[in-house]
Amino acid sequence: MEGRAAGGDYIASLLSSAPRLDLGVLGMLDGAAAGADGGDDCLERFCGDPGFAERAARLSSFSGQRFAGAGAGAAGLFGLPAPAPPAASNGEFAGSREASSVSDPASAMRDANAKKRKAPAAAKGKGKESSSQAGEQKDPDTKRCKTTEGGEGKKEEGSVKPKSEQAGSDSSVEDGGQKPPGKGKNAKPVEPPKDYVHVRARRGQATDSHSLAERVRRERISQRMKVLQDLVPGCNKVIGKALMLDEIINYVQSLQRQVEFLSMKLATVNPLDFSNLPTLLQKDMFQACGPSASSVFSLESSSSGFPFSDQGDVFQSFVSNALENQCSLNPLDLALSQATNAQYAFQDGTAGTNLQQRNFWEEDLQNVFHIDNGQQSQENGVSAQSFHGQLQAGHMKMEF
Amino acid sequence: MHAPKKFKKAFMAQLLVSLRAAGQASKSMGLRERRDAVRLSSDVAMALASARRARAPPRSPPAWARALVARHAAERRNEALMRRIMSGAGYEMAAAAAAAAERGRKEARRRRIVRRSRRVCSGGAARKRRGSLALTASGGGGRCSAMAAARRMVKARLQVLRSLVPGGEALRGLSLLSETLDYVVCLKTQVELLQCLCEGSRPQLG
Repeated sequence: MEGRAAGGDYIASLLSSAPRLDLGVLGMLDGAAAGADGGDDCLERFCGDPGFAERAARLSSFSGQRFAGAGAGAAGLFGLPAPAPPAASNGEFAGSREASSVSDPASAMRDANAKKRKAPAAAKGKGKESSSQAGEQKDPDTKRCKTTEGGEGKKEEGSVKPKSEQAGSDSSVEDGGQKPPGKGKNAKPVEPPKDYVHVRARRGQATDSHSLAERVRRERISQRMKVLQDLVPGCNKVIGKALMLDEIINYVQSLQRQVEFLSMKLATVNPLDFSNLPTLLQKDMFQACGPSASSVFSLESSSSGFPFSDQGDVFQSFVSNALENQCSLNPLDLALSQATNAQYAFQDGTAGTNLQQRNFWEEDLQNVFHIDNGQQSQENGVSAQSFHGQLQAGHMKMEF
Repeated sequence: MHAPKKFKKAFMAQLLVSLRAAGQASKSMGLRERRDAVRLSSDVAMALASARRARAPPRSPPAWARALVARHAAERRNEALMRRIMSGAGYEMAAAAAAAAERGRKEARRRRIVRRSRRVCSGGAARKRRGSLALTASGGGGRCSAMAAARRMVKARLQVLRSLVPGGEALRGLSLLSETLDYVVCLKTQVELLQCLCEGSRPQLG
């Protein structure tokens, strides 16, 4: 995992060092990588270049695991298998290259950089995206990779490459008016959004890719810890990773225990007769679930139409509908049956497990309804017409 | 940051359905089985709702969800109930995930053994050198050991966390924290919803 963030910067360094050797190849590289998404005439051109091929092999192998999807494709593009040179060689390779790259004419470097940024951007963006997270709510968008927009001219000034900071001339040229206060936190650039994270080295801190990548990683970790701190009650007083982790562990354990206890309680209290659940919910949902829930429900009650255009909304609508209605009949079942009718119309348009589940629920619930009430057909007929607006629930009183 | 309303609702609806399915399963279950059925259904509901929410801004569904479902699917006695809740195809996927998880765990165990043995071999040699150095370095030794102790503490706790969060054994560092985050939020929602249900069904007793 430590290699992950480091890998990205290594690639950046590798690619930035490329122009030192072969600017022509570089142009092709960018063309090919951009053409990784389409277009393959560049492919033959740089497949022919042995030096580039070797670099590409190192690149792909070094960040092998990260590039599972995108990089394997990219490596395949290059038409090479992935040998496994030791990471150390990569480091040295990058180190030697960067020293030489500094002396490049600034304009050439800038152009190359500008083009190259597109190349690793696509691959790295994907890699970072897949690796960053699965479903975390508080999205560190500021740190997340943004897609490249226009603004070619700005690229050189705004972007920061970890290696390029070493060269005073380069940084002065490139950073333009961008230098944040020296000791401030790492400024993620607001300037041309790229597909990978730009890290600005602080004053007096090592600027090699190792520490920079580590710093990025550490910042991410601290950000997540902060979010967790807000989430877990009582974590504010504690400072320090170990103690906070302690709190988090305790909290998770207590939550799990609570779930067990509550499920046990549910099992005893309610001998799992399903017909009762919706009515009970209807009556008690308001009080039990608190003001937040009721506000949302009232909001939805004001909307008169069933947004049946979206499956997700169907869900919301029938749940909310169940809770709004104060009729004696079982509104949830009614709403569900209505929903099932609506769903049949939308069956063709949707696909995937979502539909599978819903279809399954439908047939299950239909069975339930068929067993329990004989007026199903009548209700269906009416409900088919009363798509929009409130349910005509008052007209039908069905007893289970 | 608490769960958005959509998630809660989706979760609740799913929960209802699964509880319904569970109730259908057997009216004559023992208490413990009932409790397990409830827990199973709520876990599955949680996983499904979270997976659905992850689809909306398209991201990959959380790792713990799959692991949780896989864990439940691994027990044979749950099979019927799960099949009913999740529809046959869903259950197949869960079973496949369970098998994959089992294999992954064995792999991880093997790797850990190898790593530990390697460390022991090299650690023996290195420790002697390091020990002598530390003795000579007067003040710095204390500091280093404090940091090392802190690191060890953090590592131990991360290990515990990994055992707690489903599917966490394979995760490291950053992803572990993200998974924990997600899992905590979902657990909170689960607890709230279960409480709702409890409150709801209480008047029945009178």
